Amino acid sequence: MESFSVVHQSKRRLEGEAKVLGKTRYADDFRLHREVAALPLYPAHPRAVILGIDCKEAESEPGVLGIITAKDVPGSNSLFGRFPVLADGEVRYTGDAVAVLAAETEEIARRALGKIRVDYKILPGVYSLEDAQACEISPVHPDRPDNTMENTFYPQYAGDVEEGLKRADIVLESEYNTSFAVNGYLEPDCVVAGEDSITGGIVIYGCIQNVYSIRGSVCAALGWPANKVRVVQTAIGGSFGGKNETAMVLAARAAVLHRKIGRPVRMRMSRSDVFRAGVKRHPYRFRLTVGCSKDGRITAWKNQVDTIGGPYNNQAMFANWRLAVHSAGPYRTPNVRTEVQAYYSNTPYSGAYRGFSAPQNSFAVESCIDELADAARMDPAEFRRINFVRPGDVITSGQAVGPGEMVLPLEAMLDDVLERGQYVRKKAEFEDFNARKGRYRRGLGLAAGYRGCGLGGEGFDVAGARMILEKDGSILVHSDMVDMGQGLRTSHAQVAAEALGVGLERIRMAETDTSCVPDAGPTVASRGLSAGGMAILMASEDLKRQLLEGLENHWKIPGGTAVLNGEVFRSADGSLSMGFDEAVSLLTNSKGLGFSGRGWFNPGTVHIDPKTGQGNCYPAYLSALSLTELEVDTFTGSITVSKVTLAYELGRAVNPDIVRGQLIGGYVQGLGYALSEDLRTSEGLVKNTSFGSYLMPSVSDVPEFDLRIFEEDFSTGPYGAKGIGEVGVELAAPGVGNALFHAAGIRMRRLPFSKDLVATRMLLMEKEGADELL
Amino acid sequence: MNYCKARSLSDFFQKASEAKGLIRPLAGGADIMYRLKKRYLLSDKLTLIDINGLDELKGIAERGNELEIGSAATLSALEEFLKDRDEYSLLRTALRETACPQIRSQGTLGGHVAGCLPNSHLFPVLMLHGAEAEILESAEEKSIPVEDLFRGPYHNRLKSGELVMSLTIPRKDFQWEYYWGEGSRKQFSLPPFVLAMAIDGEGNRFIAGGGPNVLPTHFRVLESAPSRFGGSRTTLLNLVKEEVSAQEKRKNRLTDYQKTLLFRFTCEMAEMEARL
Repeated sequence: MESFSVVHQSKRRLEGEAKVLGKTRYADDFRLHREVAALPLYPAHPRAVILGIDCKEAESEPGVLGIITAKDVPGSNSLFGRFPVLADGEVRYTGDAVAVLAAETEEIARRALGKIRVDYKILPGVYSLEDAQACEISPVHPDRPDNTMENTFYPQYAGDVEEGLKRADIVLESEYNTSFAVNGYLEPDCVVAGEDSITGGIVIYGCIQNVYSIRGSVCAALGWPANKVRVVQTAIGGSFGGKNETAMVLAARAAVLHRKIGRPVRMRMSRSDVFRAGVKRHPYRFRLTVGCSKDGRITAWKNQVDTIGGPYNNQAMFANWRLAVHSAGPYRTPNVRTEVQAYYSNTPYSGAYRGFSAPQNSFAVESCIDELADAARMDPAEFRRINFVRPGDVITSGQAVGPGEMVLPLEAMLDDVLERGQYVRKKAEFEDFNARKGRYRRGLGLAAGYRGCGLGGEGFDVAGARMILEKDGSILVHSDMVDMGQGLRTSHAQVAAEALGVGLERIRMAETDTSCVPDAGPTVASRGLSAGGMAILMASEDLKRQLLEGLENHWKIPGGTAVLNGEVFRSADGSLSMGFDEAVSLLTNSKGLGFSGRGWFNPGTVHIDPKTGQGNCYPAYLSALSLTELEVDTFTGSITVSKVTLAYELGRAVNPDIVRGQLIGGYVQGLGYALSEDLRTSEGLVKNTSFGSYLMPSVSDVPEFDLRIFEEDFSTGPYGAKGIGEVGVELAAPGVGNALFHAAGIRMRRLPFSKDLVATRMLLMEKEGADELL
Repeated sequence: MNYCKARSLSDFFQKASEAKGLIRPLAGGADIMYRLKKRYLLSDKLTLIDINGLDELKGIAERGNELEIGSAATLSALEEFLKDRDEYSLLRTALRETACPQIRSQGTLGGHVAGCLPNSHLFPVLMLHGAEAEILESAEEKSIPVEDLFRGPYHNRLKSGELVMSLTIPRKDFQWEYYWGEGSRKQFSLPPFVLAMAIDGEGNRFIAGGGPNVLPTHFRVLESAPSRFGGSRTTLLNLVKEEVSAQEKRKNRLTDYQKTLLFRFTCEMAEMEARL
């Protein structure tokens, strides 16, 4: 294996000490001079016509500085995906702010907000997928009479699925449903809009995941060019995909209000507002008809997938595309027919949440694989083994499996997980234990997956970076990618140090600022390191090249012969050498040269046939496999996940500890999705709006983990790294569902597997007369 | 909001008689401070009278076959007192399930019962024991069954100026007992239902439960003498069904999950009875 000096090592997080000591300043930890507080007025009704807004009484309250409504938006009031800055004419969900009020303090703003009078005419709403498809209620947007979201239909066609079903010995029809889920970041959204004293434009500070899209929304709302708006990311206390659209409207509202009252405006959301108005995971419904032969070979995979996305089409077009590509899992499936469609609704809006449609898809696919194995009377491990794609095969989108980018070593990973997890022994032990029909039952559940790296066909996977060499030999790095707590800055710094051949302590990662790096797209799709790291690698090589050229000129040796390693420059024959500090001082102080590196990574365009979904959809894929052990209390429905054995193929672990944190943290987040996180909505209203009623796992819910990382060469990631931020979330729900089936014989096809559903199913199955009581 | 500190019990009643608006005794504050912060309790016309300094409300003692606990005794102090007293093991289990150690060290038993928490872990157990609350208003003292404190979730039947002085918990020699009350994660989540069941040495069966949708938050499902119970599971289940039906007539609509748990554990109780 290639040897490294800085990467492939578990270096301490650059920001770790400041966070542990409480020194990190988040968006709500600082104040601008003469700053004011602003609060939005949310509607009590998820769908209503706004007949009138009367702000007079509120405006006359002492301490109130100004109120904006839709008519005050000088530019476009329709942001990405139709998202309005402020509701105009109609509210379409409970997060559609009707007005925003600024006051000297938040307390004054809260009191005055209650004095804004809004007359509504309440309309019947589209509150479910069934409502949206039935078209019996007036459509959410008049120009979409069938409620379908534009650009969200994606197919995946291969072979002849009807023929495949005819050839099948076993045909299984199943429906799986997933729920809304909340990103659950600890730091609620917060932005501040103030005057940029140098340009006379606006500067936005905030906990923002995608600084460029927020700049775009502010420019659109104000009708300004990009060079008058600057967005600076502050430290972020978690995002998981969520601090995008919410931050987009928050920043646009703050900017419009700032222009109106002339003072810096802070907008911060309460926890309940994050629940009410923030992003949710798409709740998909999967209708599967699949077939296999007697010996367990999959012959056909037919999958109709639908979801509601709320009233605005902000992410479904991307989430659905990813889902379509992965819709048949990492299996040899010659005949596939998948169709994915999103619908408008008057529910909370669905958008990006770690995993981005993959956790939902993985739940359906891997549950269905287990059901097929059961129908074929085969062990789920063996069923997977004979169906896994192998070198020489193609995945359902037609991309060929082979070494490097498409290695997919699933069979080797399965063997490894079965051995480490002692599958054979434990399976027999658990079945013996369960045969006693006691209160508690134990089970094992497998789940496998693969995940396309980066945006692939969702967009341009470009990334940018810039670095400046200071005269003292320190290096300042600007990246377009945002660290949200995932450790990206540390990994980026490791890549820069390795590429330059210097120590990590020389690298300082600057905050992400739209004025420093050209717009290179969002920090999403686990591409922060795979694409962002490549830009940093390229910038480092650019800077290194300039330094070597400078020294070659000084030494008067041919170009391309000097090298920089371990902070020492050397000529090719070894006769000349100079330390890094001395060389930098010579080139900058004595020769008056300046150095900055620039990196712009563009992996090229992905080619896909939109009519069939066939093509090279992603530059590379990761592989994942898990074995979940659990115990279920059949009386109470309580599920305790005791141990999880994991294997991931991820190219190269730039920082193994960060990788472990991401993978295990992701799995625990997935456990919440599987077991306890149940966002309840009723007629468009969110019923649980706090962490007291929306239950995420706590530390004591974390099971034992046994994780092994498989590393393979990958040419288009920095030192072979693929993106690992999201894949951890995917396997928890199907792993738990499959283990629950093994333990108790009940197949749960709807997420989450809440205690009450499990307990009731068990009671009805085991106790005569129970149905009379229920 | 007004705040004052009581220097003695008589001082408390003096201050209570002088205060206007809503009066609340402040002991640990675990419940009141949370409700103030969340604005469930509005501070505008509220007077908090701090009883933290009143040592006479902090005692815990066993007198004969009864446990007497001052209302300002913390839950963790009670937990410590019961450490080796197995005759109160059901109460001990429920205490350990309540909130977390940090909150138990601050929260008091008086605050807990007067707060009428719908998800209280302790109430069903207190009801099984037949616990009574000693209530004092100025010079007048009275004793009422603990469940009579409830008016509804977070609402008690105490009059303004009345103070829960102590709780008396009779010892019961349960032959079999069961307690269930856990949330959907291991820590920091409120249970959807709390259930306590027991059979005493004379064959009397007790079932008590409570939950957020049940008014007045807790109820006695069953307190059945052996004569009502022929020993068969079916009879016991029928008694539970009758009681559930009676509760539903009183608008205590149990969820399917609550009924599931009742049914399951009643089956368990019947099977245990057969073995005793």
